[in-house]
Amino acid sequence: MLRDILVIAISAIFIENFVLVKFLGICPFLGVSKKIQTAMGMGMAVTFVMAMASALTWCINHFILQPCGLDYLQTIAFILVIAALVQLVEMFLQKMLPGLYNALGIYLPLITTNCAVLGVALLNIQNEFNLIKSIVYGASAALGFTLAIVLFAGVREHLEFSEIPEALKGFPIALITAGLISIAFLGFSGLQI
Amino acid sequence: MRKAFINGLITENPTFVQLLGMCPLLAVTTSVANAIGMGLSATVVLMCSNVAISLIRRFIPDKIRIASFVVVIAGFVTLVDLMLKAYLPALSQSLGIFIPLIVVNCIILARAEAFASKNNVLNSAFDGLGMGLGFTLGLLTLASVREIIGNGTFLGFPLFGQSYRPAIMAILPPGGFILLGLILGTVNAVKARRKKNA
Amino acid sequence: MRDYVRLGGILFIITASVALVLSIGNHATKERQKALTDETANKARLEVISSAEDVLEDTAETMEYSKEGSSVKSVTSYKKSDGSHIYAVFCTPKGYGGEISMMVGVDDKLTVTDISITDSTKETPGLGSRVGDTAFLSQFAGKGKNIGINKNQPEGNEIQAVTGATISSKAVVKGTNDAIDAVEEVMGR
Repeated sequence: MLRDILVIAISAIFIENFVLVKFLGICPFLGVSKKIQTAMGMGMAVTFVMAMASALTWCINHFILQPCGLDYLQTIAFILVIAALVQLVEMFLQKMLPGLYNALGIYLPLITTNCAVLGVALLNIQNEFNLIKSIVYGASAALGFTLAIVLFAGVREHLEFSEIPEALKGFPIALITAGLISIAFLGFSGLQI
Repeated sequence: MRKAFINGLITENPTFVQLLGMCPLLAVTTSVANAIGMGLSATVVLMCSNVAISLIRRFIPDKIRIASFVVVIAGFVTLVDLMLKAYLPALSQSLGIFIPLIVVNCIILARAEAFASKNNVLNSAFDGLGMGLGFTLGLLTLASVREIIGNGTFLGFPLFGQSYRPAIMAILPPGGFILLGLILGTVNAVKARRKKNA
Repeated sequence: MRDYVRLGGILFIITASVALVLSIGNHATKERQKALTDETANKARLEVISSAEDVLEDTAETMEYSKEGSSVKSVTSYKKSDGSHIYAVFCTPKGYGGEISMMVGVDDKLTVTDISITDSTKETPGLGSRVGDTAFLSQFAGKGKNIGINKNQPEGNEIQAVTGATISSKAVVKGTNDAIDAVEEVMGR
Protein backbone atom coordinates (compact mmCIF):
# COMPACT_ATOMS: atom_id res chain seq x y z
CA MET A 1 0.00 0.00 0.00
CA LEU A 2 2.70 2.44 1.06
CA ARG A 3 4.71 1.51 -1.99
CA ASP A 4 1.70 2.07 -4.25
CA ILE A 5 1.20 5.51 -2.79
CA LEU A 6 4.83 6.42 -3.29
CA VAL A 7 4.70 5.22 -6.87
CA ILE A 8 1.53 7.26 -7.54
CA ALA A 9 3.07 10.37 -6.00
CA ILE A 10 6.39 10.18 -7.83
CA SER A 11 4.81 9.41 -11.15
CA ALA A 12 2.24 12.20 -10.80
CA ILE A 13 4.85 14.78 -9.87
CA PHE A 14 7.70 13.90 -12.20
CA ILE A 15 6.99 11.24 -14.79
CA GLU A 16 3.50 12.21 -15.82
CA ASN A 17 3.63 15.83 -14.82
CA PHE A 18 0.15 17.27 -15.34
CA VAL A 19 1.28 20.40 -17.12
CA LEU A 20 4.35 19.34 -19.01
CA VAL A 21 3.39 15.83 -20.06
CA LYS A 22 -0.38 15.50 -19.77
CA PHE A 23 -1.20 19.07 -20.88
CA LEU A 24 -3.68 19.76 -18.11
CA GLY A 25 -3.87 23.21 -16.56
CA ILE A 26 -2.04 25.07 -19.29
CA CYS A 27 -4.10 28.27 -18.97
CA PRO A 28 -3.03 29.19 -15.41
CA PHE A 29 0.43 27.79 -16.18
CA LEU A 30 0.89 30.40 -18.88
CA GLY A 31 -1.25 33.08 -17.27
CA VAL A 32 -0.02 33.23 -13.66
CA SER A 33 3.66 32.54 -14.15
CA LYS A 34 5.16 36.00 -14.52
CA LYS A 35 6.33 36.15 -10.86
CA ILE A 36 7.60 33.31 -8.69
CA GLN A 37 5.57 34.51 -5.74
CA THR A 38 2.17 34.54 -7.44
CA ALA A 39 3.04 31.27 -9.12
CA MET A 40 3.70 29.76 -5.71
CA GLY A 41 0.40 31.11 -4.37
CA MET A 42 -1.52 29.78 -7.33
CA GLY A 43 0.18 26.42 -6.91
CA MET A 44 -0.80 26.23 -3.25
CA ALA A 45 -4.41 27.19 -3.97
CA VAL A 46 -4.62 24.58 -6.73
CA THR A 47 -3.04 21.94 -4.49
CA PHE A 48 -5.62 22.54 -1.80
CA VAL A 49 -8.55 22.55 -4.23
CA MET A 50 -7.32 19.47 -6.09
CA ALA A 51 -6.81 17.37 -2.96
CA MET A 52 -10.26 18.38 -1.66
CA ALA A 53 -11.88 17.89 -5.04
CA SER A 54 -10.35 14.42 -5.37
CA ALA A 55 -11.81 13.37 -2.04
CA LEU A 56 -15.23 14.91 -2.64
CA THR A 57 -15.71 13.70 -6.20
CA TRP A 58 -14.57 10.21 -5.23
CA CYS A 59 -17.18 10.09 -2.47
CA ILE A 60 -19.91 11.41 -4.73
CA ASN A 61 -19.06 8.94 -7.43
CA HIS A 62 -18.72 6.01 -5.06
CA PHE A 63 -21.70 6.65 -2.79
CA ILE A 64 -24.21 8.38 -5.04
CA LEU A 65 -23.57 8.05 -8.75
CA GLN A 66 -22.40 4.44 -9.00
CA PRO A 67 -25.00 2.84 -6.71
CA CYS A 68 -27.74 4.65 -8.65
CA GLY A 69 -26.28 3.80 -12.05
CA LEU A 70 -25.90 7.49 -12.84
CA ASP A 71 -22.34 7.28 -14.16
CA TYR A 72 -23.26 9.44 -17.12
CA LEU A 73 -23.86 12.41 -14.80
CA GLN A 74 -20.20 12.37 -13.67
CA THR A 75 -19.00 15.36 -15.64
CA ILE A 76 -21.89 17.56 -14.63
CA ALA A 77 -21.81 16.56 -10.96
CA PHE A 78 -18.05 16.99 -10.72
CA ILE A 79 -17.98 20.43 -12.29
CA LEU A 80 -20.68 21.65 -9.91
CA VAL A 81 -18.84 20.28 -6.89
CA ILE A 82 -15.61 21.87 -8.01
CA ALA A 83 -17.29 25.23 -8.62
CA ALA A 84 -18.86 25.18 -5.16
CA LEU A 85 -15.56 24.15 -3.58
CA VAL A 86 -13.65 26.97 -5.23
CA GLN A 87 -16.29 29.43 -4.05
CA LEU A 88 -15.83 28.12 -0.53
CA VAL A 89 -12.05 28.41 -0.65
CA GLU A 90 -12.42 31.93 -1.97
CA MET A 91 -14.68 32.99 0.89
CA PHE A 92 -12.37 31.32 3.41
CA LEU A 93 -9.27 33.04 2.09
CA GLN A 94 -11.01 36.42 1.93
CA LYS A 95 -11.88 36.19 5.61
CA MET A 96 -8.86 34.42 7.04
CA LEU A 97 -5.92 35.20 4.75
CA PRO A 98 -6.68 38.48 2.98
CA GLY A 99 -3.04 38.86 1.97
CA LEU A 100 -3.03 35.68 -0.05
CA TYR A 101 -6.52 36.47 -1.32
CA ASN A 102 -5.37 39.78 -2.76
CA ALA A 103 -2.28 38.20 -4.29
CA LEU A 104 -4.26 35.49 -6.08
CA GLY A 105 -6.91 38.04 -7.06
CA ILE A 106 -8.75 37.15 -10.19
CA TYR A 107 -7.08 33.78 -10.53
CA LEU A 108 -9.01 32.10 -7.76
CA PRO A 109 -12.33 31.82 -9.61
CA LEU A 110 -10.31 30.64 -12.58
CA ILE A 111 -9.44 27.43 -10.75
CA THR A 112 -12.97 26.26 -11.55
CA THR A 113 -12.15 26.23 -15.23
CA ASN A 114 -8.67 24.83 -14.62
CA CYS A 115 -8.94 21.57 -16.47
CA ALA A 116 -6.39 19.97 -14.13
CA VAL A 117 -9.00 19.90 -11.36
CA LEU A 118 -11.79 18.28 -13.37
CA GLY A 119 -9.12 16.19 -15.07
CA VAL A 120 -7.84 14.72 -11.81
CA ALA A 121 -11.39 13.90 -10.71
CA LEU A 122 -12.04 12.01 -13.94
CA LEU A 123 -8.63 10.28 -13.92
CA ASN A 124 -9.21 9.05 -10.36
CA ILE A 125 -12.31 7.25 -11.58
CA GLN A 126 -10.67 6.01 -14.75
CA ASN A 127 -7.69 4.57 -12.85
CA GLU A 128 -10.03 2.95 -10.34
CA PHE A 129 -8.23 4.48 -7.37
CA ASN A 130 -9.62 4.11 -3.85
CA LEU A 131 -10.22 7.12 -1.63
CA ILE A 132 -6.71 7.39 -0.22
CA LYS A 133 -5.04 6.86 -3.56
CA SER A 134 -7.35 9.46 -5.11
CA ILE A 135 -6.37 12.07 -2.55
CA VAL A 136 -2.67 11.24 -2.91
CA TYR A 137 -2.97 11.40 -6.69
CA GLY A 138 -4.85 14.72 -6.54
CA ALA A 139 -2.39 16.30 -4.13
CA SER A 140 0.73 15.07 -5.89
CA ALA A 141 -0.56 15.97 -9.35
CA ALA A 142 -1.14 19.46 -7.99
CA LEU A 143 2.35 19.52 -6.45
CA GLY A 144 3.64 18.59 -9.90
CA PHE A 145 1.67 21.53 -11.25
CA THR A 146 3.19 23.80 -8.59
CA LEU A 147 6.69 22.57 -9.34
CA ALA A 148 6.24 23.20 -13.05
CA ILE A 149 4.69 26.64 -12.65
CA VAL A 150 7.32 27.81 -10.14
CA LEU A 151 10.21 26.58 -12.30
CA PHE A 152 8.59 28.25 -15.28
CA ALA A 153 8.07 31.54 -13.41
CA GLY A 154 11.75 31.46 -12.44
CA VAL A 155 12.78 31.22 -16.08
CA ARG A 156 10.28 33.87 -17.14
CA GLU A 157 11.57 36.37 -14.57
CA HIS A 158 14.93 36.15 -16.28
CA LEU A 159 13.40 36.36 -19.73
CA GLU A 160 12.14 39.86 -18.97
CA PHE A 161 15.63 41.23 -19.29
CA SER A 162 16.68 39.33 -22.37
CA GLU A 163 16.49 40.43 -25.95
CA ILE A 164 13.85 38.44 -27.75
CA PRO A 165 12.90 38.70 -31.44
CA GLU A 166 9.90 41.01 -31.76
CA ALA A 167 7.58 38.35 -33.15
CA LEU A 168 8.31 35.89 -30.37
CA LYS A 169 7.71 38.31 -27.50
CA GLY A 170 5.13 37.32 -24.92
CA PHE A 171 3.26 34.11 -25.52
CA PRO A 172 5.40 32.41 -28.18
CA ILE A 173 8.64 32.59 -26.22
CA ALA A 174 6.79 31.44 -23.10
CA LEU A 175 5.60 28.35 -24.97
CA ILE A 176 9.07 27.61 -26.31
CA THR A 177 10.49 27.94 -22.80
CA ALA A 178 7.82 25.59 -21.50
CA GLY A 179 8.84 23.15 -24.24
CA LEU A 180 12.44 23.23 -23.05
CA ILE A 181 11.39 22.57 -19.45
CA SER A 182 9.22 19.77 -20.76
CA ILE A 183 12.26 18.21 -22.45
CA ALA A 184 13.94 18.17 -19.05
CA PHE A 185 10.94 16.37 -17.58
CA LEU A 186 11.01 13.89 -20.43
CA GLY A 187 14.16 12.58 -18.78
CA PHE A 188 12.06 11.25 -15.91
CA SER A 189 10.13 8.98 -18.23
CA GLY A 190 13.10 6.63 -18.14
CA LEU A 191 12.57 6.10 -14.40
CA GLN A 192 11.68 2.53 -13.59
CA ILE A 193 9.34 2.26 -10.65
CA MET B 1 -24.59 36.66 -39.28
CA ARG B 2 -21.81 36.44 -41.76
CA LYS B 3 -19.85 38.83 -39.61
CA ALA B 4 -20.34 36.68 -36.52
CA PHE B 5 -19.06 33.69 -38.47
CA ILE B 6 -15.96 35.32 -39.99
CA ASN B 7 -15.23 36.97 -36.68
CA GLY B 8 -14.76 33.61 -34.97
CA LEU B 9 -12.93 31.96 -37.82
CA ILE B 10 -10.35 34.68 -38.52
CA THR B 11 -10.50 38.09 -36.81
CA GLU B 12 -10.93 36.77 -33.31
CA ASN B 13 -9.69 33.25 -33.90
CA PRO B 14 -9.77 31.59 -30.47
CA THR B 15 -6.42 29.88 -30.95
CA PHE B 16 -4.27 32.40 -32.73
CA VAL B 17 -5.74 35.66 -31.46
CA GLN B 18 -7.48 35.00 -28.15
CA LEU B 19 -5.11 32.21 -27.08
CA LEU B 20 -7.90 30.20 -25.48
CA GLY B 21 -8.31 26.44 -25.11
CA MET B 22 -4.61 25.66 -24.94
CA CYS B 23 -4.92 22.34 -23.10
CA PRO B 24 -6.81 20.38 -25.76
CA LEU B 25 -4.87 22.25 -28.42
CA LEU B 26 -1.60 20.79 -27.15
CA ALA B 27 -2.91 17.46 -25.95
CA VAL B 28 -4.84 16.05 -28.90
CA THR B 29 -2.77 17.40 -31.78
CA THR B 30 -0.50 14.37 -31.99
CA SER B 31 -2.46 13.31 -35.06
CA VAL B 32 -4.62 15.13 -37.59
CA ALA B 33 -7.50 12.69 -37.17
CA ASN B 34 -7.68 13.38 -33.43
CA ALA B 35 -7.53 17.13 -34.05
CA ILE B 36 -10.47 17.00 -36.45
CA GLY B 37 -12.48 14.85 -34.04
CA MET B 38 -11.77 17.20 -31.16
CA GLY B 39 -12.46 20.32 -33.22
CA LEU B 40 -15.80 19.09 -34.52
CA SER B 41 -16.92 17.84 -31.09
CA ALA B 42 -16.11 21.24 -29.59
CA THR B 43 -17.90 22.97 -32.48
CA VAL B 44 -21.05 20.94 -31.89
CA VAL B 45 -20.98 21.71 -28.18
CA LEU B 46 -20.27 25.38 -28.82
CA MET B 47 -23.14 25.75 -31.29
CA CYS B 48 -25.64 23.86 -29.15
CA SER B 49 -24.72 25.66 -25.95
CA ASN B 50 -24.79 29.05 -27.68
CA VAL B 51 -28.26 28.35 -29.07
CA ALA B 52 -29.60 26.98 -25.78
CA ILE B 53 -28.18 29.83 -23.74
CA SER B 54 -29.47 32.41 -26.16
CA LEU B 55 -32.92 30.80 -25.91
CA ILE B 56 -33.08 30.84 -22.11
CA ARG B 57 -31.07 34.02 -21.54
CA ARG B 58 -34.10 36.02 -20.41
CA PHE B 59 -35.04 33.55 -17.69
CA ILE B 60 -31.65 33.31 -16.02
CA PRO B 61 -31.03 35.72 -13.15
CA ASP B 62 -27.70 37.48 -13.35
CA LYS B 63 -26.32 36.03 -10.13
CA ILE B 64 -26.47 32.41 -11.16
CA ARG B 65 -25.75 32.86 -14.85
CA ILE B 66 -22.26 31.33 -14.82
CA ALA B 67 -23.45 28.30 -12.88
CA SER B 68 -26.37 27.86 -15.29
CA PHE B 69 -24.08 28.19 -18.32
CA VAL B 70 -21.74 25.57 -16.93
CA VAL B 71 -24.60 23.14 -16.34
CA VAL B 72 -25.94 23.61 -19.86
CA ILE B 73 -22.49 23.20 -21.38
CA ALA B 74 -21.75 20.11 -19.27
CA GLY B 75 -25.04 18.64 -20.47
CA PHE B 76 -24.14 19.01 -24.14
CA VAL B 77 -20.63 17.75 -23.55
CA THR B 78 -21.97 14.60 -21.90
CA LEU B 79 -24.36 14.08 -24.82
CA VAL B 80 -21.50 14.37 -27.32
CA ASP B 81 -19.44 12.03 -25.15
CA LEU B 82 -22.22 9.41 -25.12
CA MET B 83 -22.70 9.70 -28.89
CA LEU B 84 -18.98 9.31 -29.58
CA LYS B 85 -18.76 6.28 -27.30
CA ALA B 86 -21.67 4.64 -29.11
CA TYR B 87 -20.87 5.51 -32.70
CA LEU B 88 -17.16 6.39 -32.93
CA PRO B 89 -15.56 4.32 -30.15
CA ALA B 90 -12.05 4.53 -31.61
CA LEU B 91 -12.09 8.32 -31.62
CA SER B 92 -13.65 8.40 -28.18
CA GLN B 93 -10.85 6.21 -26.85
CA SER B 94 -8.05 8.23 -28.34
CA LEU B 95 -9.44 11.58 -27.15
CA GLY B 96 -9.99 10.09 -23.69
CA ILE B 97 -10.70 12.54 -20.89
CA PHE B 98 -10.29 15.50 -23.22
CA ILE B 99 -13.89 15.03 -24.37
CA PRO B 100 -15.41 15.57 -20.90
CA LEU B 101 -12.83 18.32 -20.40
CA ILE B 102 -14.50 20.35 -23.17
CA VAL B 103 -16.67 21.54 -20.27
CA VAL B 104 -13.82 23.62 -18.90
CA ASN B 105 -12.63 24.81 -22.29
CA CYS B 106 -12.54 28.57 -21.79
CA ILE B 107 -13.70 29.25 -25.36
CA ILE B 108 -17.15 27.83 -24.71
CA LEU B 109 -17.83 29.61 -21.44
CA ALA B 110 -16.36 32.81 -22.88
CA ARG B 111 -18.72 32.73 -25.87
CA ALA B 112 -21.70 31.98 -23.64
CA GLU B 113 -20.86 34.92 -21.42
CA ALA B 114 -19.70 37.40 -24.05
CA PHE B 115 -22.01 36.59 -26.96
CA ALA B 116 -24.85 34.14 -26.52
CA SER B 117 -26.21 35.77 -23.37
CA LYS B 118 -26.59 39.07 -25.23
CA ASN B 119 -27.59 38.09 -28.77
CA ASN B 120 -30.44 36.37 -30.60
CA VAL B 121 -30.51 32.69 -31.44
CA LEU B 122 -29.47 32.86 -35.08
CA ASN B 123 -26.49 35.09 -34.47
CA SER B 124 -25.42 32.97 -31.52
CA ALA B 125 -25.56 29.82 -33.63
CA PHE B 126 -23.31 31.38 -36.26
CA ASP B 127 -20.99 32.76 -33.63
CA GLY B 128 -20.70 29.25 -32.19
CA LEU B 129 -20.06 27.76 -35.61
CA GLY B 130 -17.43 30.38 -36.45
CA MET B 131 -15.61 30.09 -33.14
CA GLY B 132 -15.79 26.29 -33.26
CA LEU B 133 -14.35 26.12 -36.75
CA GLY B 134 -11.76 28.72 -35.78
CA PHE B 135 -10.69 26.41 -32.95
CA THR B 136 -10.69 23.46 -35.36
CA LEU B 137 -8.47 25.47 -37.71
CA GLY B 138 -6.03 26.05 -34.87
CA LEU B 139 -6.02 22.36 -33.93
CA LEU B 140 -5.61 21.35 -37.55
CA THR B 141 -2.65 23.65 -38.14
CA LEU B 142 -0.70 22.41 -35.13
CA ALA B 143 -1.67 18.77 -35.71
CA SER B 144 -0.59 18.88 -39.37
CA VAL B 145 2.81 20.27 -38.47
CA ARG B 146 3.28 17.76 -35.65
CA GLU B 147 2.10 14.72 -37.57
CA ILE B 148 4.07 15.55 -40.74
CA ILE B 149 7.33 16.27 -38.91
CA GLY B 150 6.97 13.77 -36.11
CA ASN B 151 5.50 10.81 -37.94
CA GLY B 152 6.03 11.57 -41.63
CA THR B 153 2.33 11.06 -42.33
CA PHE B 154 -0.79 13.14 -42.92
CA LEU B 155 -4.06 11.64 -41.72
CA GLY B 156 -2.17 8.37 -41.52
CA PHE B 157 -0.90 8.40 -45.13
CA PRO B 158 2.89 8.21 -45.42
CA LEU B 159 4.29 11.26 -47.20
CA PHE B 160 8.01 10.75 -47.57
CA GLY B 161 8.55 7.06 -48.22
CA GLN B 162 10.53 4.50 -46.26
CA SER B 163 13.82 6.33 -45.89
CA TYR B 164 12.33 9.23 -43.89
CA ARG B 165 13.23 9.09 -40.21
CA PRO B 166 10.55 11.07 -38.40
CA ALA B 167 11.59 13.61 -35.75
CA ILE B 168 9.70 11.95 -32.91
CA MET B 169 10.23 14.97 -30.68
CA ALA B 170 7.50 16.84 -32.58
CA ILE B 171 4.90 14.37 -31.35
CA LEU B 172 6.17 14.23 -27.77
CA PRO B 173 4.93 16.91 -25.33
CA PRO B 174 7.92 19.30 -25.70
CA GLY B 175 7.42 19.35 -29.46
CA GLY B 176 3.85 20.50 -28.93
CA PHE B 177 4.91 23.47 -26.83
CA ILE B 178 7.79 24.51 -29.06
CA LEU B 179 5.97 24.15 -32.38
CA LEU B 180 2.94 26.04 -31.07
CA GLY B 181 5.28 28.81 -29.91
CA LEU B 182 6.86 28.96 -33.36
CA ILE B 183 3.46 28.98 -35.11
CA LEU B 184 2.20 31.82 -32.92
CA GLY B 185 5.48 33.66 -33.54
CA THR B 186 4.93 33.28 -37.29
CA VAL B 187 1.39 34.62 -36.96
CA ASN B 188 2.76 37.62 -35.05
CA ALA B 189 5.45 38.24 -37.65
CA VAL B 190 2.91 38.15 -40.49
CA LYS B 191 0.64 40.53 -38.61
CA ALA B 192 3.50 42.94 -37.91
CA ARG B 193 4.53 42.97 -41.57
CA ARG B 194 0.94 43.62 -42.68
CA LYS B 195 0.69 46.53 -40.29
CA LYS B 196 3.91 48.02 -41.62
CA ASN B 197 2.75 47.75 -45.23
CA ALA B 198 -0.67 49.18 -44.52
CA MET C 1 -33.69 34.80 1.91
CA ARG C 2 -36.56 34.60 -0.54
CA ASP C 3 -34.18 35.54 -3.29
CA TYR C 4 -31.90 32.63 -2.44
CA VAL C 5 -34.77 30.19 -2.65
CA ARG C 6 -35.78 31.60 -6.03
CA LEU C 7 -32.23 31.44 -7.39
CA GLY C 8 -31.74 27.95 -6.03
CA GLY C 9 -35.06 26.93 -7.56
CA ILE C 10 -34.14 28.19 -11.02
CA LEU C 11 -30.74 26.53 -10.90
CA PHE C 12 -32.39 23.34 -9.76
CA ILE C 13 -34.87 23.42 -12.64
CA ILE C 14 -32.06 23.92 -15.15
CA THR C 15 -29.98 21.12 -13.67
CA ALA C 16 -32.96 18.79 -13.47
CA SER C 17 -33.94 19.36 -17.10
CA VAL C 18 -30.35 18.82 -18.25
CA ALA C 19 -30.21 15.60 -16.21
CA LEU C 20 -33.48 14.46 -17.78
CA VAL C 21 -32.18 15.05 -21.30
CA LEU C 22 -29.01 13.18 -20.40
CA SER C 23 -30.83 10.18 -19.01
CA ILE C 24 -32.73 9.93 -22.30
CA GLY C 25 -29.48 10.25 -24.20
CA ASN C 26 -27.87 7.62 -22.01
CA HIS C 27 -30.77 5.26 -22.48
CA ALA C 28 -30.67 5.70 -26.24
CA THR C 29 -26.96 4.95 -26.57
CA LYS C 30 -26.46 2.35 -23.83
CA GLU C 31 -27.54 -0.71 -25.79
CA ARG C 32 -25.45 0.27 -28.74
CA GLN C 33 -22.40 0.91 -26.53
CA LYS C 34 -22.65 -2.48 -24.90
CA ALA C 35 -23.27 -4.27 -28.18
CA LEU C 36 -20.27 -2.51 -29.65
CA THR C 37 -17.95 -3.49 -26.79
CA ASP C 38 -19.12 -7.10 -26.89
CA GLU C 39 -18.74 -7.27 -30.64
CA THR C 40 -15.22 -5.83 -30.60
CA ALA C 41 -14.14 -8.15 -27.81
CA ASN C 42 -15.64 -11.17 -29.53
CA LYS C 43 -13.98 -10.32 -32.82
CA ALA C 44 -10.61 -9.87 -31.15
CA ARG C 45 -11.01 -13.20 -29.33
CA LEU C 46 -11.76 -15.13 -32.49
CA GLU C 47 -8.94 -13.36 -34.27
CA VAL C 48 -6.22 -14.44 -31.85
CA ILE C 49 -7.23 -18.10 -31.95
CA SER C 50 -7.93 -18.17 -35.69
CA SER C 51 -4.67 -20.03 -36.40
CA ALA C 52 -5.97 -23.09 -34.55
CA GLU C 53 -8.18 -25.49 -36.46
CA ASP C 54 -11.55 -26.97 -35.52
CA VAL C 55 -12.40 -24.42 -32.84
CA LEU C 56 -16.05 -24.71 -31.84
CA GLU C 57 -16.88 -21.03 -31.69
CA ASP C 58 -20.14 -21.36 -29.79
CA THR C 59 -18.52 -23.14 -26.85
CA ALA C 60 -17.11 -19.84 -25.61
CA GLU C 61 -17.10 -19.57 -21.84
CA THR C 62 -15.84 -16.33 -20.33
CA MET C 63 -14.70 -16.06 -16.74
CA GLU C 64 -13.65 -12.90 -14.93
CA TYR C 65 -10.11 -13.02 -13.60
CA SER C 66 -8.38 -10.81 -11.11
CA LYS C 67 -5.18 -11.37 -9.23
CA GLU C 68 -2.75 -9.05 -7.51
CA GLY C 69 0.04 -8.10 -9.90
CA SER C 70 -1.57 -9.67 -12.94
CA SER C 71 -2.97 -7.54 -15.74
CA VAL C 72 -5.43 -10.22 -16.87
CA LYS C 73 -9.10 -9.23 -16.75
CA SER C 74 -10.88 -12.23 -18.25
CA VAL C 75 -10.18 -15.64 -19.75
CA THR C 76 -12.43 -17.13 -22.41
CA SER C 77 -12.09 -20.82 -23.18
CA TYR C 78 -13.14 -22.52 -26.40
CA LYS C 79 -13.47 -26.26 -27.00
CA LYS C 80 -11.95 -27.79 -30.08
CA SER C 81 -13.52 -30.70 -31.91
CA ASP C 82 -10.83 -33.07 -30.58
CA GLY C 83 -11.85 -32.21 -27.00
CA SER C 84 -8.87 -30.01 -26.14
CA HIS C 85 -9.17 -26.36 -25.18
CA ILE C 86 -7.88 -23.06 -26.48
CA TYR C 87 -8.02 -19.75 -24.62
CA ALA C 88 -8.43 -16.10 -25.49
CA VAL C 89 -7.20 -13.89 -22.64
CA PHE C 90 -8.06 -10.23 -22.26
CA CYS C 91 -5.52 -8.15 -20.35
CA THR C 92 -4.68 -4.51 -19.75
CA PRO C 93 -1.00 -4.03 -18.86
CA LYS C 94 0.19 -0.52 -18.01
CA GLY C 95 2.11 1.10 -20.84
CA TYR C 96 3.67 4.52 -21.21
CA GLY C 97 0.58 6.71 -21.18
CA GLY C 98 -1.95 4.43 -19.52
CA GLU C 99 -3.38 0.97 -19.96
CA ILE C 100 -2.97 -0.96 -23.18
CA SER C 101 -5.88 -3.31 -23.92
CA MET C 102 -4.91 -6.53 -25.63
CA MET C 103 -6.12 -10.03 -26.41
CA VAL C 104 -3.81 -13.03 -26.23
CA GLY C 105 -4.56 -16.43 -27.72
CA VAL C 106 -3.02 -19.32 -25.73
CA ASP C 107 -3.37 -23.03 -26.50
CA ASP C 108 -3.37 -25.87 -23.98
CA LYS C 109 0.39 -26.36 -24.37
CA LEU C 110 0.78 -22.81 -23.02
CA THR C 111 2.01 -21.51 -26.34
CA VAL C 112 0.90 -18.16 -27.72
CA THR C 113 -1.16 -18.56 -30.90
CA ASP C 114 -1.48 -14.87 -31.71
CA ILE C 115 -1.98 -11.53 -30.00
CA SER C 116 -3.89 -8.45 -30.93
CA ILE C 117 -3.90 -4.94 -29.46
CA THR C 118 -7.43 -3.64 -29.06
CA ASP C 119 -6.51 -0.25 -27.62
CA SER C 120 -3.10 1.42 -27.61
CA THR C 121 -4.46 4.95 -27.99
CA LYS C 122 -2.98 6.10 -24.70
CA GLU C 123 0.51 5.42 -26.00
CA THR C 124 2.43 8.04 -27.96
CA PRO C 125 1.09 7.94 -31.52
CA GLY C 126 3.69 6.80 -34.01
CA LEU C 127 5.94 5.54 -31.23
CA GLY C 128 4.41 3.52 -28.42
CA SER C 129 1.33 2.87 -30.53
CA ARG C 130 3.58 0.95 -32.94
CA VAL C 131 3.34 -2.06 -30.64
CA GLY C 132 0.11 -2.63 -32.60
CA ASP C 133 2.07 -3.24 -35.83
CA THR C 134 2.05 -6.75 -37.25
CA ALA C 135 5.84 -6.75 -37.48
CA PHE C 136 6.07 -6.54 -33.70
CA LEU C 137 3.07 -8.70 -32.81
CA SER C 138 3.89 -11.55 -35.19
CA GLN C 139 6.99 -12.31 -33.09
CA PHE C 140 4.80 -13.62 -30.30
CA ALA C 141 3.19 -16.56 -32.08
CA GLY C 142 4.73 -19.83 -30.90
CA LYS C 143 6.45 -18.36 -27.85
CA GLY C 144 6.03 -20.07 -24.48
CA LYS C 145 6.18 -19.12 -20.81
CA ASN C 146 8.30 -16.23 -19.51
CA ILE C 147 8.93 -14.36 -22.71
CA GLY C 148 11.95 -12.07 -22.51
CA ILE C 149 12.66 -8.81 -24.26
CA ASN C 150 15.73 -7.70 -26.14
CA LYS C 151 16.55 -4.42 -27.82
CA ASN C 152 18.92 -5.82 -30.42
CA GLN C 153 19.33 -9.52 -31.15
CA PRO C 154 16.45 -11.54 -29.72
CA GLU C 155 17.08 -15.26 -29.39
CA GLY C 156 15.08 -18.20 -28.10
CA ASN C 157 12.05 -17.10 -26.14
CA GLU C 158 12.80 -13.39 -26.67
CA ILE C 159 11.03 -10.57 -28.47
CA GLN C 160 12.65 -7.60 -30.15
CA ALA C 161 11.32 -4.34 -28.66
CA VAL C 162 9.94 -1.60 -30.88
CA THR C 163 12.75 0.94 -31.32
CA GLY C 164 12.25 3.92 -29.01
CA ALA C 165 9.22 2.39 -27.34
CA THR C 166 10.71 0.07 -24.75
CA ILE C 167 8.09 0.81 -22.10
CA SER C 168 5.16 0.02 -24.37
CA SER C 169 6.91 -3.10 -25.69
CA LYS C 170 7.60 -4.31 -22.16
CA ALA C 171 3.94 -3.76 -21.31
CA VAL C 172 2.82 -6.01 -24.15
CA VAL C 173 5.31 -8.67 -23.08
CA LYS C 174 4.07 -8.45 -19.49
CA GLY C 175 0.48 -8.78 -20.69
CA THR C 176 1.36 -11.88 -22.70
CA ASN C 177 3.26 -13.50 -19.82
CA ASP C 178 0.38 -12.72 -17.45
CA ALA C 179 -2.00 -14.30 -19.95
CA ILE C 180 0.01 -17.51 -20.14
CA ASP C 181 0.19 -17.73 -16.34
CA ALA C 182 -3.55 -17.14 -16.07
CA VAL C 183 -4.27 -19.92 -18.55
CA GLU C 184 -1.96 -22.27 -16.67
CA GLU C 185 -3.88 -21.50 -13.50
CA VAL C 186 -7.27 -21.90 -15.14
CA MET C 187 -6.26 -25.23 -16.70
CA GLY C 188 -5.04 -26.51 -13.34
CA ARG C 189 -8.42 -25.94 -11.74
